[in-house]
Amino acid sequence: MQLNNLVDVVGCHAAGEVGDVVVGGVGNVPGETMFDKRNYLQNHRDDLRLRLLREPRGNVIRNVNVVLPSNNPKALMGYVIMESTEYPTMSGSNTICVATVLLETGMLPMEEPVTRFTLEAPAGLIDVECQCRNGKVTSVRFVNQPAFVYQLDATIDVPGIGTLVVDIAWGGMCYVIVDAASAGFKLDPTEGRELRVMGERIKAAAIEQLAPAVHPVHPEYPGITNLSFTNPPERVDGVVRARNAVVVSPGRIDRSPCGTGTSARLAVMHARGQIGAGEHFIHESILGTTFDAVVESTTKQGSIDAIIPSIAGQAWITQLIKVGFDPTDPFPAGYTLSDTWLEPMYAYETTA
Amino acid sequence: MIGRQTINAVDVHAAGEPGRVLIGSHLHVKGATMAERLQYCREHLDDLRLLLLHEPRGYPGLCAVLILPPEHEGSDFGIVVVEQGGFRPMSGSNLICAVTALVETGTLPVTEPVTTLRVDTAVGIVDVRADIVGGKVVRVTFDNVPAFAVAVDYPLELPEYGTVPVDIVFGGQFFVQAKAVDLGIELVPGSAHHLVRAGAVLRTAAQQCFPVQHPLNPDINHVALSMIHGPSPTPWASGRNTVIVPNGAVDLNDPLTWTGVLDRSPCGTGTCGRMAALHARGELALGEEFVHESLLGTTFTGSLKDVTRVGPYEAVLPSVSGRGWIIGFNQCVLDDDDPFPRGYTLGDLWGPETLASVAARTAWSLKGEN
Repeated sequence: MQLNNLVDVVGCHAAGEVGDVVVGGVGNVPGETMFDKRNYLQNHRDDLRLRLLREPRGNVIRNVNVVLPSNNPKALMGYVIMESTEYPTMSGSNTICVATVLLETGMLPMEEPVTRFTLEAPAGLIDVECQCRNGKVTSVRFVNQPAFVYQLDATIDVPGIGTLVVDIAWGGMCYVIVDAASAGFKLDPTEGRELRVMGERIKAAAIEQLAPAVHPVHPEYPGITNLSFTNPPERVDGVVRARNAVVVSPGRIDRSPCGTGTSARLAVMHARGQIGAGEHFIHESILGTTFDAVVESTTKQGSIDAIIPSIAGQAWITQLIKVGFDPTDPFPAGYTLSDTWLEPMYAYETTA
Repeated sequence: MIGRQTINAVDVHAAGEPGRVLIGSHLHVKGATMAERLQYCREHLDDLRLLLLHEPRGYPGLCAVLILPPEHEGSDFGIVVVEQGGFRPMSGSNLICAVTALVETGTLPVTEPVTTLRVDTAVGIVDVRADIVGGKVVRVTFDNVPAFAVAVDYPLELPEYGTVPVDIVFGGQFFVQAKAVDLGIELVPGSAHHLVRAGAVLRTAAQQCFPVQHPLNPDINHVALSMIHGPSPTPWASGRNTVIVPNGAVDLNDPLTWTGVLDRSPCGTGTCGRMAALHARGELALGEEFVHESLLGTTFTGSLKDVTRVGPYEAVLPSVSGRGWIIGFNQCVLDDDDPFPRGYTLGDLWGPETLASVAARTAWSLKGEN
C-alpha cells in the first residue's frame, strides 16, 4: 500500500457547516502574508484543494482550512480557507472550526475559562475569544475585518423571477443579499433544491448586470461570489433575530448561519438603522443553528462607512483523518457529478 | 475531559464509489449467522449508520461496510453493507473496498500473486480472488451469489415517464432496470440529476407494483435499487449504466421528492442482475465477457460461470472484477455534546426533510444558543 501526499486533517463542523482543518503534511507555503500564501496555493497547489474537496475524498459541502505559521508577530497561527469554487479571504464558520481544532488538539495552549489569541486569515488579523471548559471549546467569538455596503437597492433582472431588488455587501466575501419573499421563498427546508438553483441564478445575474464590486482597500479581493436569502429582522425581547439561507457555489446551502454573510448583512442593517452598535443579532440558518453577531464599532474602508462585526458560535470535532492518494488511483484530484455538484452558472475564479 | 465516541475506518473507493470500511466495529454486532447480524444492525445500529453516512461526516454518495467475523468454517470474514437506504446484505463495490482495505492494511494474511477468500453475507457465501502485486490489490474478482431475472420487459407504469419496459432482477439485491432511451434521458455525466429523478420514480413504482421475495431469505423482500442502462460510446465497453441510490422517502405524487444519488461505480450487484437479464434474453452467453461502464468511465468486468436454480427461478452464477484504492484512514468521532449525534440532512442535496433532520434541529434548540 502506498499513499502519496499524505495530509493530516481534523474534521470539524461549526453550527452544522463543515470546516475541516489540515494540521499537517503540507509543509512550507511561500508568501509573506496569509493572502500571499492563499495566492500561492491557488496558483501552484490547487491539486491539494481539488483532492480534498472533490469526491471521493471530499464532497460539495466540505470546506478545508490549511493551518500555517504566520509571519505576522501578532498572530499565533494563520490559515488559508479552501471552498468548492474559490479561496475566500475570510469565513466565519471556518474560523470557529480552526480556533476550536487548534485548542482541542493542543496545537495552541488552552486556558480555561477563556483563551484569547489572534489568527491571521487571508483577510488579515482576526482576534478570537474562546470559552473553554473541561478541554472543550464551548464558544468562539471572532472579530471580523471590516464589513460594508457596496450598494443598497440594486435592481437586477433574473430569468424565471423578473426584476429583483438586492443589496450588495462585503463581509469577508461579497454577497448579493436578497429578501427571500421577493424571490418567492419562505426559507423552509423543503425549498432546498429551488433555493440552490435560484441562488446561483440570481448570483450570476448580479455579476453580469451590476458594476463589479471592487474592494476599496484591497482591489485584488474577489467580487460577488456569494448570496444570502434573508427574511426581515424582528426584535424579540430586545434582541434582533432573523433567518437566512446562504447559497454557496456551485449551488448548495450553508448549513450554518454563515459568518461572512452575517457580517455583510449586519453592515446592511446598520446602514439602514435596523441595528445599533453593541446590540446582539441572532442569525439562524435553514438548519436551525445560530450565530450571535454584534456591531463592535464603526470604521471606514477607503471612503466607505464600515462596521467591525464580531460573531460567536460553537464547533465540534468530527473526524481524525489521514488522506492521500495511491499513485495508480484514477482520481488523484477527485471528480464531480451533477447530482450533488451543480454545473457552474458563472465563471469561477478557480477552475474545478 | 471531552467525552468522545470513536469509530475506526479505512476510506476506499472502488471504481469511484466510496466505501468507508469499518474495521473494529464488529464487536458491536450480535448474532450467530450473517442473516441474524444483518437483522441486528437494522434493529440496533441505525444510529451508527446515520452518524457515518449523513452530514457532517458523510454525504449523499457515501456507503460503508461492516467487517465482521466469518460465520462459516473456512470463511475469512463477513460483511454487512451500510447504505443511505439502510443495511444491505451485499454490494460489489463495497466488497471490493473491503478486500482492498483488509489486504492493504495487513489485516488479512495474504499471499502474492493471488489470494482466494471466502466472504460470508446474509445472501450467501461469496468467493473472492484478490490479485496482489507488491502489497497492492490490483484486481478483486468475486463470484457473486446466484442472480436471476424475476421479470423481463415488464410494463411498469410511471408518472410523467409513461409505461416503461423494465426488468426486475436479483443480483445480491433486487433491482428494477430500465433503458435510458425509454426514459428519454442521455446516459452522460451531465444528465446526473435527470437520471436521479427518473431512478427514484422507477424504484418507488416497482416497490409499489411488484412485490418480490428471495426464495432462500424471506427478509429480502423489496426492490432496493433502480438501474438505468444503455450502450456506451467507449469501444471496449459492453454497456454503460447508473444505479440510483435512495436518500429520502419518495412520493410518486410529489416530484420534489424524486431525489437520490448515483452509484459512482458501475455497481457490482446491479451488473450481476443485468447479466442475468441479458442471459434470460439469450444476449449473453456463459463465459462471455461483459464490460460494464459507469458515468465516470470506470469499469467492472463481469462474466457468467454457470447456470443454476434459486427456488422457482432459473439463475446464473455471475463473476465480477473491479479494483479499489485506499484514499484515507479515518477515525470518526462524536463529542458527547455534539448537537447532531445522528448527523443531519438538508433538502438541497438530500431528500425532503427527514425525521433525522427534524430531530437534529430540535436537539440544537434544546441545547440553547451561545
